[in-house]
Amino acid sequence: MHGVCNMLSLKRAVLALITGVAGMSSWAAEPLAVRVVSGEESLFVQQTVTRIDSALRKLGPDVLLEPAPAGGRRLVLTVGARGWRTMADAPSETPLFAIAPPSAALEGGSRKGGMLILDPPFARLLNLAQLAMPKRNNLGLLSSPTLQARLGRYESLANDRGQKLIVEKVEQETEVGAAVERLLPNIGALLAMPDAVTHNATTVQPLLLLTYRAGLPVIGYSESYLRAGAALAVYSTPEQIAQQVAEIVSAYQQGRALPGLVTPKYYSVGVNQPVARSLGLNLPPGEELEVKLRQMRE
Amino acid sequence: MKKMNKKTICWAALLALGVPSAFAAETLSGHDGDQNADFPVVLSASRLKQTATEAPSAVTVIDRTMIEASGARQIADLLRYVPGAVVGYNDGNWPVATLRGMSAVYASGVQVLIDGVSMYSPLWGGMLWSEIPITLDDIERIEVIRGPNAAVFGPNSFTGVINIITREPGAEKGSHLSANIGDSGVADVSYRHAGTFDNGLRYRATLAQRASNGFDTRPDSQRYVFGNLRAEYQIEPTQAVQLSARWGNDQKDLGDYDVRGGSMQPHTIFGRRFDLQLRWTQARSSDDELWVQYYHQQASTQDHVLIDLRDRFPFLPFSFPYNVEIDFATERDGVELQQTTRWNSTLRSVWGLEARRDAVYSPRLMGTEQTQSSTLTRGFGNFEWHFATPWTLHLAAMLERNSLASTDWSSRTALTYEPVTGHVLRVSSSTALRTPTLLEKKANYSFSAQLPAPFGTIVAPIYSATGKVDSESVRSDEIGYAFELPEHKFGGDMRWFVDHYRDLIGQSGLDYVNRDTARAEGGDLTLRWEPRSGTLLRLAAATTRIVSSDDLGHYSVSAPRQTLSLLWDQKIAPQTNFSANFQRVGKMAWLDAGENGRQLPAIDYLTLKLSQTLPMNSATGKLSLVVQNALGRHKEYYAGTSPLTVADRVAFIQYSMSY
Repeated sequence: MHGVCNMLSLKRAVLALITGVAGMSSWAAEPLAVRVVSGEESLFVQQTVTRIDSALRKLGPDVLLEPAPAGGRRLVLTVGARGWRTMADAPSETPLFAIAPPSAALEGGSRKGGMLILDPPFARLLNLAQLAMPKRNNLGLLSSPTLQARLGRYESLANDRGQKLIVEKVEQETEVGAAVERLLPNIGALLAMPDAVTHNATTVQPLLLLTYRAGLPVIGYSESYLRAGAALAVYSTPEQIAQQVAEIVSAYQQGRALPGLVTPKYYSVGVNQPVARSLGLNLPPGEELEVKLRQMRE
Repeated sequence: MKKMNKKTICWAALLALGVPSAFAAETLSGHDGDQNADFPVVLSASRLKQTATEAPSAVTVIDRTMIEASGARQIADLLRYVPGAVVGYNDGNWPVATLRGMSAVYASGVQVLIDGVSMYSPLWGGMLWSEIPITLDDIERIEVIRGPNAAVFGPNSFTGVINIITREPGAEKGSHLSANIGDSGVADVSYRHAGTFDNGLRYRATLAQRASNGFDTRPDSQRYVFGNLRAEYQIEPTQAVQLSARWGNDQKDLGDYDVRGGSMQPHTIFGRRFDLQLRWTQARSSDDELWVQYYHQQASTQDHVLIDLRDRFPFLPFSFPYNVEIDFATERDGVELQQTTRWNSTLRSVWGLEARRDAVYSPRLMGTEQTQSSTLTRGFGNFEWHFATPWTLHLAAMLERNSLASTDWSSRTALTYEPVTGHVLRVSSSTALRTPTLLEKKANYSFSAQLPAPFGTIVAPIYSATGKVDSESVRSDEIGYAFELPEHKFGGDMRWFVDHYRDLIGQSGLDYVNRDTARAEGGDLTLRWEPRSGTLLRLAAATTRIVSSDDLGHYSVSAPRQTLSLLWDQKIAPQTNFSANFQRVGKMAWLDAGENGRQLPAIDYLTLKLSQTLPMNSATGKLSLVVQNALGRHKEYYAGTSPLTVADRVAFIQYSMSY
């Protein structure tokens, strides 16, 4: 039963691909009206919307930001979870491209289109740990039920790199502190993967305080996590997201299909030097790590 | 699980459509936008600990591992870890701690802070260590700056700074029960609870008692009942408010069984204390923080001493018991602002302003029914400039205006050089002031008694301050080397210093005056090594030599030539831990011990602790046996026989349970 919606999603995606290719020649010259939708969310979402808006305006006269004249081709961009929820189920033929949508987006909505998921590939986090702290091979990970299905793959990726993944399972956010304490004696660093249960504005307090007390760095997945106290993080900035989105919109305007699902093409590595130094870590600048990280196999 | 399957199918479809393989192969988001969430800045500038290789001064950090291994009951005992520090006991429940000599009960040259607020007594200028309303479990770590640092930490940062940082409420939840029961009437108990309300308010509250009979040789029992609360609320990701409140209720015996000369009859003093701190913090990153705080402290002591007037007036033909009421109450209120800014990759600054009012009410000590007060305003700036790799220049200055002394500057200049990562050479020079205390500036302490004819009224003046006394000053120069080898879990630091003290305050007749000079020179070494998991070895040694004019005080013998601290903390089984903590303090004399500077012999102090973690279903228990002063009896504080202060071996059981 559950496969039905997914098959529908599959059909929609294939259809989008076919129609995209078939209609390429006739659409190529048509202007595209783009509507950017977001809810009142984090500063990150607000900044991303601003940067996307700015990047789209630079694409030239063939890409118009709504309000645009009636008729012609249209595209909706949603940024963040609330933006996606606002638009996903609205009956409309206008394609929708979601940036940083919620998990529900992966299960298929009623709109055709695609999405940009911001999660860093786990292999990238492992590579970063290996690059920045080569002697810290025991890496901790908190796992909520939503992450369980991927643990086997994660462990395999870690083993391939000579690293050992030590996982503590967490059912709800109140268990995070105790789970971190169980991890501390056995790990050299803690990896954070986006997850609403294990990493949110509430859990980040005990997580960062306890790891810091034990002298252990956290490798985060967002600029916000880096500012909060992660020793280093790999993430995409609003500018980088906007650049990628502009490229996708431009290609779509010129007749290519929207990609079904993409990950960040551009990313940064950030180092929280005050925290790193306080932990006794001597880390090179983020730019240096970033260059080396791009050369590693994911 | 069904959800997982659904997503897996989705992935198959996406793979078929050519989604980038590296991502498609292993990642699937299960979150709801939290990747985009604005997290609060947890590790802000004021929460980061100082490290020996980063700090522009010599720093000792006493962390949780060292606190657990110490076997200590009193916060002051933790300072035994600090090279050059001396911890003594004026009586069995009156610990005293000093850095670099100038040792006395109310050693007033040490700045003591709890979470950034000065805790030393507005009246005496020194620290009442046994009346701090926090348990050892409430402490996250203690950072000790070994040397003057008034430019950043304010007045009284004269021979050092002791910064006590309490545990964050956000780091824990649940309840914790702890008790020490053993020799000498040791009966400590504490209960704390930490949690988070649905609205995000985090709190940590402790209720405790610390009690013991003290030394056998003196009437010095104490029962200190206290509590504290620390609560934090995140207004928004970049803004938080913190409230700390503490109160303590003290009942302590004082005096001497063998009353001779100036010693006191056994009696009981009663004290109360209340502290409040309210801080608003705006933090945008670990290098960008602004906080504003208000603090209030109030304390009162009721001390009624029965004396024999004949001790003071030998001409009296008979014994004449007389009750002297030495009651006092103090208050401190202040507002403070501090901002940390990262200007670029090479320049970082910290600046701040503070305004404070200290007040004392004591008709006996001040000779007036009026409250005596002082005001302090200060501003400071501190710049850290990486002007060229691997050089860093640290410049700090403070302008202090105090109604008790002349307006003056304190400064610190330090240059660090890190030729190889983890190896830092440091040269620094600093100046600092020690403002006179309210007692030294305004004391008018005497008592009078109406005697039968022919004696009439007799008056016994003790202090009568003219108020001419001004600040003491020090200039300190040092050269140091610190290293950190994280891959070997080995680190340490060493340095050599020379301090020049001027205008040291001493009692001349009934007044306090600036008189003596002193030159203190010495070096210290700290090494910390974790050769393997579960083993911690630490050594801290210091040598100090003071040359002084010694006119109004025996400064030249107020610091031991050598101190040594050794710690061995060993996990001997998965649930069993052993620690041995040894200190040697060379012979010395406390400035206020009298006896014409006669020195106390060297003291060897050994504490042993054996702990066993007890497995429980939904709780964690720990049972420990602690033996303090395991090497046995030694004289403390006074070399003579009155008062007779002899520390004995004390063994106690420590039980704690978290649930």
